[in-house]
Order: sequence, then structure tokens, then C-alpha cells
Amino acid sequence: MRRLLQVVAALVAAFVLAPIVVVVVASFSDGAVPQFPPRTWSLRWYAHAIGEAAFTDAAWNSAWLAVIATLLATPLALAAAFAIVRGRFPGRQALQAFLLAPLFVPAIVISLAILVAMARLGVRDVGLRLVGAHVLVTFPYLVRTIIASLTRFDLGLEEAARTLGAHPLRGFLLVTLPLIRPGVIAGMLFALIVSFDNVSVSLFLTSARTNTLPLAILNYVEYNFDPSVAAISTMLVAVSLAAALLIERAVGLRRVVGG
Amino acid sequence: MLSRPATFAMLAPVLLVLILLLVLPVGYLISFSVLARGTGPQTLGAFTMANYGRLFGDTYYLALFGRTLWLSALTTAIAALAGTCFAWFMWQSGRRWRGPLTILILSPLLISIVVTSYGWVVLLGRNGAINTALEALGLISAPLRLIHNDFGIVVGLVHVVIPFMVLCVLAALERIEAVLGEAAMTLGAQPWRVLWHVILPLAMPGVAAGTTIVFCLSLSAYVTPAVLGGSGPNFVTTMIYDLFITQYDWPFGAAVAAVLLATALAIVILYQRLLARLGAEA
Amino acid sequence: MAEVTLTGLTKHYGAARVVDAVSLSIASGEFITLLGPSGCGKTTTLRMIAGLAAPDAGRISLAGADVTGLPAHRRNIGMVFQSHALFPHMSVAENVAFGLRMRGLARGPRAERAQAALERVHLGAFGARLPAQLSGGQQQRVALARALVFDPHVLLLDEPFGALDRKLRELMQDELRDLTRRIGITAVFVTHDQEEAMILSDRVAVMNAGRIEQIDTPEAIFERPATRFVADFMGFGNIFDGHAANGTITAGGLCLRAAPPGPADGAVQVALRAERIALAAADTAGAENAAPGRITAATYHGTLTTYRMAPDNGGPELLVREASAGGTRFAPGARVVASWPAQAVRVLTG
Ligand SMILES: Nc1ncnc2c1ncn2[C@@H]1O[C@H](COP(=O)(O)OP(=O)(O)O)[C@@H](O)[C@H]1O
Ligand SMILES: [Mg+2]
Repeated sequence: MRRLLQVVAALVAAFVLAPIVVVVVASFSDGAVPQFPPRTWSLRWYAHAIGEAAFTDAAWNSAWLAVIATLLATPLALAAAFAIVRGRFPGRQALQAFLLAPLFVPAIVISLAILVAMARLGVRDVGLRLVGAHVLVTFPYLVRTIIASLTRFDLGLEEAARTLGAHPLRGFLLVTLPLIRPGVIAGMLFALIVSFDNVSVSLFLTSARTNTLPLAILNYVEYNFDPSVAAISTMLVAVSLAAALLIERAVGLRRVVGG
Repeated sequence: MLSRPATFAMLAPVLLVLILLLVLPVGYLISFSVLARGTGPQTLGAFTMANYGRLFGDTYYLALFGRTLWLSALTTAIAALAGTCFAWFMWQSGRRWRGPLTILILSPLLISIVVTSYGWVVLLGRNGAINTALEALGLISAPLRLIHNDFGIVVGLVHVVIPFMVLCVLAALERIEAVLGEAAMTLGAQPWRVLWHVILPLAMPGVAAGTTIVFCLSLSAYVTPAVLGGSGPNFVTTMIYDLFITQYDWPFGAAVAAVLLATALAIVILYQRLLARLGAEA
Repeated sequence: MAEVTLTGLTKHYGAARVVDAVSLSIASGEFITLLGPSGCGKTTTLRMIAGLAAPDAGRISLAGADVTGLPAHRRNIGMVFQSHALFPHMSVAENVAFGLRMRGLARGPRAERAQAALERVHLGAFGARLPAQLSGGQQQRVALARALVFDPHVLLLDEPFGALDRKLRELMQDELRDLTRRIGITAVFVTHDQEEAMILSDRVAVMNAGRIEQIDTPEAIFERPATRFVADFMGFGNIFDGHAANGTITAGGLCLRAAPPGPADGAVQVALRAERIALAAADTAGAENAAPGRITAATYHGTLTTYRMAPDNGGPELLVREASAGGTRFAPGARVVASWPAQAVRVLTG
């Protein structure tokens, strides 16, 4: 039985890693199409990808978008998490479910809804639309991580600080905040990844002139099949894995992702 | 404890954002679904239920919904089996392996779906690694069609959703006290009976939770069917895209989106109920 | 006939030798307790008997058969865990019937025997409930019924009453003693509570750092500890290094006579039971087994009052325990004479 389980687990692991490994290896192809394994190896598609304005512009857009959305969503999530954990009011459970709603509404519906609503309000600015959508999709992860961090450190510590003469606000600043800081930072890192990688929620919101990197890749592969996309992808994988390692070290990935 | 006014003050901005960016826009989008198509490409007409009538009256659209549900169910079943096995493996493996295994199984979630979809194309495409290898070995004479069909969609979807399944089942397994398995052993249960009578029943809530989440995610997926599915609308989401972008039929597209949203939310509510019931038992 | 025999049982965790060459022979129908402080290896020993942990060396035999290499599910033992370990998804009746089901018994007789077992622990009416719907004491009874229903060779219990409040614990101890004597089962019980060990056991094995220090009847352990560790664990209160010569032991300024006397002359350790020392408000004292001195501390415990007394001749401080009779009799500073019978003095061998 142990053997069988190990075999199944190995198959699952191979399945999960297969497309990722293939992309990374194929990115070093020399030919005009990605090969696995490459017949001849080269870094030229990396040079090509970095020289492609469609990618670099989109990468900058995605990076800015991720940073702005995360910085906007974090204070919102902090306030909401505090209210949920430390407040006593009817319907807390329902409210918590509502705060996580953006996770469960199909992203394509969110994207469309923001498109039509902003059009109705006369907002034509691509950046504004995208920031709105990305705040929405990053926010639930932040709320969840911060709630998890807050519930782990119980009120007792803050109360102890208060009996030692600390004003509630100082108790919070000196005791609670340092304790949840790793959780908040991990949540922010994950939010950055979520925003940077997201496709569906941006689907209807970009324009010909302002694109995000995942959508630029999607557009590119519709007409081209050269390995420059593999090169870009490999760089994305490296960034994601680095962030994942940091999060795992700080608080554990599972607490951030939920489940 | 926070006072009522303080609590409200902290919640107000969040609620405002969610209402302005989610509730009202989605409501506004759905309101299109009860309007007739106007004369111009993006103009709207009078109140009508015809869009829903068309959706539920035309077997083409019903079949597309049915297909989406079927492929999502298939994906969910495969993910449940594979995910449960993997979660069980993680649960049994030592502390030292937990971190690496977690990153491994969560990698589809951490890496952009554009990257993994592209990876499947490179691996499974007409001239992809698998077809090349099989041809080189002389096992096939013509390339196998591994993507741009339903097989491709299911492969891609299972890959996307498996992290969620593993996380749910693992969480349930970790709530099981190790001493229960030992107790069963002292009572005379062989290892497989410990698994069957004790571990699996206790992990079931996790499997159930994972199943609902995964089904909901599969249903709402866009990139996977768009990249790995066959040509033309092959999934509800790709049809919505087609209706809005190619056909400019916003009212009908909104009706399809509304039904998709309703299905997803119904599943989530079911899931919350399930969690609440399990919570009450524990 | 020996029902359970342990021979040189040894277990390491990393470099630490957690169980160190434990040998023990338990007669059929005997109730044995492993008694010792937390971390001394009691649970590990019990888990090795159950087959839940593998010994690094030594042998285990049950009912005459060597079971050292046998997995837990083939040993036919009944085990009660501190946390009950009831299956939360099964009813009480299903929990109790589990062992019978694993032994292939048909549904009908299974239910009958489970019901009988439940009645034996006064829970006949609770079969349909889930474990979560029972109180702590009831859950522990179900665990007991579950472990006994298939007539195991031996019943193993690991601090089963640790989580119960004092009153309930005493009730459960009585029930367990009655039940095990009535059905005549061999039992190995683990606890760190010496009183519990005294109440329940035919014999007590006192463990320290993975070894059995002494094994004997409760009375013998309590009255005649062999080693310093056992005397200390049994609450003698006063243990001195002394010197024996001609049947008299001198320790500091104290002069003690033991009955029975120690085995030999030379350096010895002596233990003096604190509750057998009598205090009197007198000024004169005999030379042996008595000392005049001054009270240095008095603590009222309720049933008991303890005093510390410094002997005038500079000997070691004495701990005295006496039944409280209407309050504290002596205040710190009071002059008293302490005296004790020779039977209260125990010469230790190790
Ligand atoms: N699985 C284990 N891994 C490492 N050390 C253990 C393990 N189980 C017990 N120990 C150690 O072995 C010693 C004895 O433990 P145990 O048998 O549980 O003691 P007791 O039941 O007498 O309190 C303790 O120091 C404990 O820390
Ligand atoms: Mg123990």
C-alpha cells in the first residue's frame, strides 16, 4: 500500500512539474521553435524577449499594477481583518464570507462588470480600471492571511501590555503589530504574485496601448511560437519561486493560500 | 474588543470598495441581461426576458453549459482522487519534506497560468515533446491530438485546481489525531482497515470541501479552455468572451454571465453550509 | 503463569536511552502499575507492549508467545489512551464493536457483545450517541468497554484518568478496580500519581530515567522503599546521608535507630517519614530517635500541617507532617521536641 501511494504521489508530482520544467528547459532552445530537450542550446531568445517592447512595456505595467494594487488593498485588508477579529457584531460570519467573495465570483464576470460599470461612469483610463480589478482580486488573500495571523496571537498579549500600563494603541503598536508583521508581509508578497500573474480579471480591461504581461504573452503566442515566450516564462517562474520560498520561510505558504 | 463605532469605521472603507467595485458593477452587468439588443453595436433596447428564453430554449447553449459542467465534473473527480492521494502522502512524509512538497504542489498556483498553459502546448502540441518522442520511438506514425480538444482542457484544468484539493484534504487530515489510528491498530485493524474505517471517513469533510471549491474554479476558468481547448466556444467562459468581444451581443452575454455567476455562487453557498454543518458537529 | 513478560526491553530516541533494559513478569490476572515522574519512559514501555513502538533490544511475550516482532493489530491487547481516542465519526456502540468487527464477528453477535460491554460500564442506554455527546468520564468508560469487549490478553492503560477532576477520578478508579478484579484481566496501568498506583495495583513498578527502580506490593513500596529515588517519590520528606555503626546511624547531629536495622555498617542513606514524626512542647528528649529544636516554618494545608524544625545540635532540618487538629499548633520560633519510632526510619540500599 505504501509503495502504491508513493507511485501515485510521484506521478502527481511529475504531472504538476511537467509543463513548468518543459518551459524552463525549452527556453534555452536555439531554434525557431521551443524544443524539449533543445537540440542546440542558447540564450538568444532571452535577448530577444528582453528586446521585445511588447513584453518589456507590459512587464513594467504589470509590476506597477501589482505594487499599486497591493499597497491599496493592504490597509483595507488590515482594517477589515481587525474589525472581523476584534469586533463583536451580528453577522460576522456572513461579512467574512462577503469579504472573500471576489475569490468566488468568476474572474471573467468581475472583469466584464468593471468594464461596463466604468464605461457607464465615463472612466476610460485603462490604469484606473486595472487597479480597481486588481485591488479586488488581491484583497481576499490579504484579509485571509491577516485574520489568520491575528487569531493566532490572542488578545491576552495585548491585555498583558495594558495591565503593564500601555495605552491600547501603544499595546497594539508595540505588541500586536510586530507579531503579525511577518504574516502581513507574506500576504503582500502573495498579493503581488496574484496580481502580476492574473489574466482573467484583466481580460476586458486592457487596451492596445496598455497591456499586462500575461495578456501580452497570451496575445503573442496567438501569432508566434518562438521560444522567447519560454524565456519570459522562465523569468516569471524564477520570480514566483523566489517569492514562494520567502513566504514559506516567513509564515508558511499554506497560511497565506488558505484551505 | 473594539467598540461598535470603531468597528464600523474600520469596515466602512472596505465595504465601500466592495460595493463600488463588485456589487454595483456586477448588478449593472446583470441588468443588461433583461434588455433587448439595440440597433447599434453597443446600444440597448427595452426590457425583455428573451435573453434567458434564448439561453434555456436553445439546445446549442444548453449543450455548451452541459459540456462545461461535465468537463468540470470530470476535472473535479480526477483532482479529488489524485489530490487525496498526494495529500495523504504529504501527511505521512516527515516535517523536513513538508516545505518542498508544499511549494511543489502549490506551484501551479504560484506560476502564471499563461506560463503553464504554454508549457502544455510545448509538451502536448502537434510538434510537442511527447509527439516527437513517440514518433522517434516509432510508436506512432502521425502526431496524436493531445490539445485543442476536451482532453487538453481537462489536463490543463486538473493542473490548475489540484493545489486547492490537496490543501483542503491535507487540512482535514491534519485535524485527525494520530492516536486514533493507533487505537484502531490496538483493536486489531490491519493498516488498510485503519485507512478505510478511520482515516478516510475523517478526511471526507476535506475532500467534500475541496470538491466544491475545485468544481467552482473549473467552471469559471477562462485561460485553460481558451488556450488548450478546441476552436470556437468550447466552454461557458469562452462563449461569454465571444459574445462580448466578437458578436457585441452584450445583453445575451450578460445573461450567460449571470447564469454562470449564479451557478458558482450556488456551489459556494452549498460549501459554506457544509462547513457550517461540519463545524457544528466538531 | 506469566501472562506478560518483558526481558531487557530497551528503546532509544536519538541518543537518549528512554527505556533501559526493563524486565518484568506479570502474572495472569495481576494488576501492575508503572509509576514514575513525567518523562521516565512509562508511555514508551507501554507502547512497546502494545506494538506501537519497536524496541531496540529485548523481548516481549504475551500469553507464552513471543510477540516482539508482531504488529499491534495482531497482538490481541486492549489499550485505553489518555485522550480516550474514541472515533468521532462512529456511534458509541460502533466504537465498542470495532474490535469485534476487526475480528470478523457477524453483525448480530457483535452488537450483542458490545451492548453487554456497555452495560458493564453502566452505559447501556448510550450506544446510539456520538462520543462528542458524552461527558469526559463517560467517554473514558466507553474507551474501557471498547478495549475489553474482545477479551484481550492484557489491558493497557496510559494515564487514563489524567484529564478528569478529582472526584470523578476517584470514582473511575473504584470502578476500574472492581471491573478488572471481577473479570480477572491482566492489566498494566501507567500513572505519575502515587496514590492512584497504591489504590489500584497488586504490584507497583517505580520507574526512573528508563529503569525500574523497585517493584513490589503498594505497601512494601510505600513502607519500605529500596532506593533514595523511591523514598523521595513516595514522599518520605527526610532523606539523609549518614554513617551506621553498631546498629545506630548518625546523620549530622541526629542519632537514629532503624527497625529493622540496616544491612551493614558504614556510609548509608536513611529516610525518615515526615508524618511519623511527633512534635511535643517539651524540653527534654532521649538520645535516640528524638531531637529538641526550634520551629522555622509552619504551613497549613487543610488536612495536614507541615513544619520545618531546626535541631539544636545543628543537624539537618526535619520536615514534619501532622494531621491538623483545629489549626496550627506551633508558630515559627516555638521550642519543640521531635521524636519518631524506629519503624519510621528506613535504611536505603541504593
Ligand atoms: N516519539 C518520540 N521521539 C522522541 N522522543 C520521545 C518520543 N516519545 C517519547 N520521547 C522521549 O522519551 C522520554 C520518555 O517519554 P515517555 O515514555 O512518554 O515518558 P512518560 O510516559 O513516562 O512521561 C521523554 O524524554 C520523551 O521526551
Ligand atoms: Mg506518558
